[in-house]
Amino acid sequence: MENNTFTIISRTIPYWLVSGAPFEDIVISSRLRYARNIAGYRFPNLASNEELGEIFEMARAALENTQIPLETEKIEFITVTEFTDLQGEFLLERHLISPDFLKKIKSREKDDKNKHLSTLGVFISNDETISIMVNEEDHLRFQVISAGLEFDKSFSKLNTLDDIFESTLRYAFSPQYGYLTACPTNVGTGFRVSIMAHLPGLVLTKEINQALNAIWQFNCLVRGLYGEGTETRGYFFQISNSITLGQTEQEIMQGIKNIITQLINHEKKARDFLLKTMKTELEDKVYRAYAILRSARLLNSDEALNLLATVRLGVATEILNEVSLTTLNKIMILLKPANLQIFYNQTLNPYERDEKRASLIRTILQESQN
Amino acid sequence: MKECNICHKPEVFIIVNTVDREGNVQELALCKDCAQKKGISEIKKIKLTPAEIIMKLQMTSDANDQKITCNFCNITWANFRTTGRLGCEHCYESFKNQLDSLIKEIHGATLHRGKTVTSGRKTTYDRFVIKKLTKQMRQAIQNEDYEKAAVIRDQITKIKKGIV
Repeated sequence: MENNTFTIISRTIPYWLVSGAPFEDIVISSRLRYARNIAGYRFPNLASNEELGEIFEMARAALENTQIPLETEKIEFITVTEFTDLQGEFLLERHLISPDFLKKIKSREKDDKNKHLSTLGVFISNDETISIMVNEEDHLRFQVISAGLEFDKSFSKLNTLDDIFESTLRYAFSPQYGYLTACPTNVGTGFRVSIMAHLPGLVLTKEINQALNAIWQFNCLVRGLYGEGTETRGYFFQISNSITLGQTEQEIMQGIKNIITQLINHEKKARDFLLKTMKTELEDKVYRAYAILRSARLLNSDEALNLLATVRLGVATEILNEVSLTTLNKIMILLKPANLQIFYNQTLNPYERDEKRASLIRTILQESQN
Repeated sequence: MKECNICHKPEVFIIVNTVDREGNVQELALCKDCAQKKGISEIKKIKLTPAEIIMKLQMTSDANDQKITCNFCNITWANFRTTGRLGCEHCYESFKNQLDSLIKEIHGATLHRGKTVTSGRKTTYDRFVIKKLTKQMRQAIQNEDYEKAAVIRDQITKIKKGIV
């Protein structure tokens, strides 16, 4: 299946990036995840290949044996167990797997003596809103992603999914510590809420550090675009809860919601301030970025992402009306090196990538104007 | 409301970690003015992340604790200190004394509130465990360890009858 699936996915925009979501001008996406382990099996870092294989088969059986609908529209799961490095990177760029999982994919290819055994895999719903990583840091990592600031629907999906697995599997659970995880930072609910926010206003007004200071005070973490250990780029910040034990899932969500709502207000004020005090400079910045994206012949991914982030600010503040947030979201995914190569279905060297990236962005922006 | 540790103004602009000559880390809350006086103009990090808390506690861990071993997966507390990852669910029991303070430091709590597991038949799980045990039983018979084989056989029967 693999190659075809990757090609099909790469030509579409992930469902969660479509426009019309709450606070989409500031919040790109909301991700909820549960970490779960199966009782009686060592955690993935210590488990033997045989155990990992059993876990994988168990997870597959749990998913296949169930008829419980996730929602009214039918969701089909794609099972991916064979990855090339490029396909792994592609999935990371689309937030369907984590950087740690990609590391595992890469190291497995080099020294795996049991290739017949699927020890590592991910189940992805065909709309890309759900992914289930098997044998990442924990046996199971369920993730539901949605556009904008939206928790309720995703939370219900996440719980249904968890219940489906739990109805036929036995989870490692303790009445005192809750769901037991490989790292004590996830124990308890195993629940992590991550918001990807676009905060150019706060960055440009130099208020970002103060805002992040406030976030840290409220038991939240700030990370880069792909989670732990990654840099913040293009004014994108990932904010998530640091506490998973001692609070209910609802309390965790409410806590994050409160913080993000405040952050949104601060960002809006900062944007208003910029529009009032330095409108021309802001317009200049936005139109220059847009002009480069529309005419450049070579663009590396960092430059493209930064320009895109500036154009996004322009669209959100209504300086620029010629392009939609959905189009920008689509470009944001496709400009990444692995997505670009899988979109074109060919391996490209860095120079060729910069050329194709510039050309693809030009085409998409051209089409969006027509 | 927190106050500045120096001038006691009820306003905190930044929290920094200071390290004294003995290597003790102390948290210092400062208002904007006192932070400026101390030459701190840029906020780098205010609070430790869970990963950093683990690292910090790992560094201060008691030498005697290091040899404590989990009976199920055989990792030692020292192993955990190196990787930051536990080996299995039983580690939480084996290292309870050490983990309790670590968990409290990370989460500010040691008691789970929230979703819990439901009881009931776990068909897929049982199927896999029976398969695994059957393999172990065959191995025991092959090794002529009939006592062990009998124990495993009883375990399998229990699972099949839904007692476990």
